[in-house]
Amino acid sequence: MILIHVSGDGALARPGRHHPRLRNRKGLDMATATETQTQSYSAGAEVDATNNPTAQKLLKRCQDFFAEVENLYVSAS
Amino acid sequence: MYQPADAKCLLNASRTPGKDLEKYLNAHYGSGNPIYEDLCSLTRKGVEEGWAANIDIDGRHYRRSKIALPKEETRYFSITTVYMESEGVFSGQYHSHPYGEINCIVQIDKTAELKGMQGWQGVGWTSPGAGTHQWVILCKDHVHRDADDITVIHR
Repeated sequence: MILIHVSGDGALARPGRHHPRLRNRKGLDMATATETQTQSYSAGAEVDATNNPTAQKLLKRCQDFFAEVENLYVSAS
Repeated sequence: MYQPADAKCLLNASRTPGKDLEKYLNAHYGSGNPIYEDLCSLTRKGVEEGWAANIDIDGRHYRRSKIALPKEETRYFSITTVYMESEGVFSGQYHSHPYGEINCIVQIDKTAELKGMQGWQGVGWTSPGAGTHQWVILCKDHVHRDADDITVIHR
């Protein structure tokens, strides 16, 4: 049994989209919390997509996905 | 009085990590969706090429790598690939999701499933909501689906 999952974190971690419960509980600002989470849960540095066409395509499709979901969300405000 | 704009707000408010988003993604971005299929094929290719999920966490059966840090270009999502291989139920490292998480499940073995907000999920998506914390749990077959010793904690 083999599985890969591609995780996207930090959907709310941007200016203007604070999460009060998290903020109160952790006592961290969004940037700090994001960085802490990223550092604790990640391994290694960001992939260098230069001269890596597959990585460039993957990033592009991730961006497409986030844009589609995000567009639905943003249109509510 | 019916207000289309309000209805739209209610609908769109669900587009943040959690049960509703998980249902939505599996309904609209599952198997056969061009974006989902591309994410799966490109991720598999990245693993084959050796740059995706290439860093051992606990041997070669549990690996991950960072594809992108949070940035404007990714809508402030970070992107991580995680590779898990097991013959039974496998629990990855305990971690939290301060802002939620969206998991695109890329099967290599078609029996592989990931524990989501709605239960075990094969092809498709899971999306733990903001503030949840858990062990990533992988399962092979139906025998383990309802096992009481599987613990996934969601707040």
